[in-house]
Amino acid sequence: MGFSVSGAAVVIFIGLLASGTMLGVAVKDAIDARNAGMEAEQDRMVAQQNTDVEIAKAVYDSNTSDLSLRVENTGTVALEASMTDLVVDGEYVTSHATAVENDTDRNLWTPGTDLSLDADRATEPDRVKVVTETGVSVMATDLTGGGG
Amino acid sequence: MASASVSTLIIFIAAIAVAASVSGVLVGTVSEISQSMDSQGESVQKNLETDILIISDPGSDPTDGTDTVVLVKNTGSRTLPSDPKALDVVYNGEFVPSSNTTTTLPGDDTWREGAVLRVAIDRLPKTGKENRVAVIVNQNEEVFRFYAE
Repeated sequence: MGFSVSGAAVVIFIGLLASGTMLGVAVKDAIDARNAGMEAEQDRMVAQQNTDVEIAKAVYDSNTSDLSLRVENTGTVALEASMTDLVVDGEYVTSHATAVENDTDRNLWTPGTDLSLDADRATEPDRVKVVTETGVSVMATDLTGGGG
Repeated sequence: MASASVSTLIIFIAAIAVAASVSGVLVGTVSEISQSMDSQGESVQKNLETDILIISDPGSDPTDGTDTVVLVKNTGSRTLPSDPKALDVVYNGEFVPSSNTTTTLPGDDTWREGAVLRVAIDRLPKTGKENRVAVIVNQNEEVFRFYAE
């Protein structure tokens, strides 16, 4: 009788140990995944809070049909020119040239520097929106004054 | 004497068998719970890493003649599926099936971080009214409101 009881106890004990380990690992993995996601979210929020841009110049030249924008990074986060989007009259513009501090090879738009955006538009746009990679956007509505 | 040890052996085997089956059920159940927790953790991470933003200009006409077009930017930290089936679109309170939406990626191959997805919805806005388009990806909802003249 004594043998059976202790034998059974050992088997159940091993089972408990195995399931406890399994559960512990799973809980740790789930918490790790959640923390990684929260960290990424917080990083994005901090970057978004520290992003600030201002339109320094927005001019449409009717002679050359060129829309020229100069946007200053007035925040404290380095942005990327390739991830900055241009929306003209509600339409997404893909074919636009970018230059940081007049250098077309530069992609990193550091705080305090100017990003130039140039696009060919047949007609004078009414509204231009510039969206940065963190989602902070600026808008210009008065584009007259260039060449026309 | 011999019969006593035989019965002890039988009781021993029975006890071990019962204990083993109890343990087996326990381990099996806990393993299933662990798997569910794993996948739940992954989906929580996926939802936290997903972030979208509608960058359409509410002041401009969002239609292209037959469709209403919204521009959705991926502002999260993971590449998202750009297939219409992966998006939920609700237009003025009405669910739009994925067969009625067309997605294109202007300028990019995948809907990576920072890329913009152009979602054309086969619906036209109510004129002279306020309209509302909600786009949902991985439980992240973004609402675009505009006035159609």
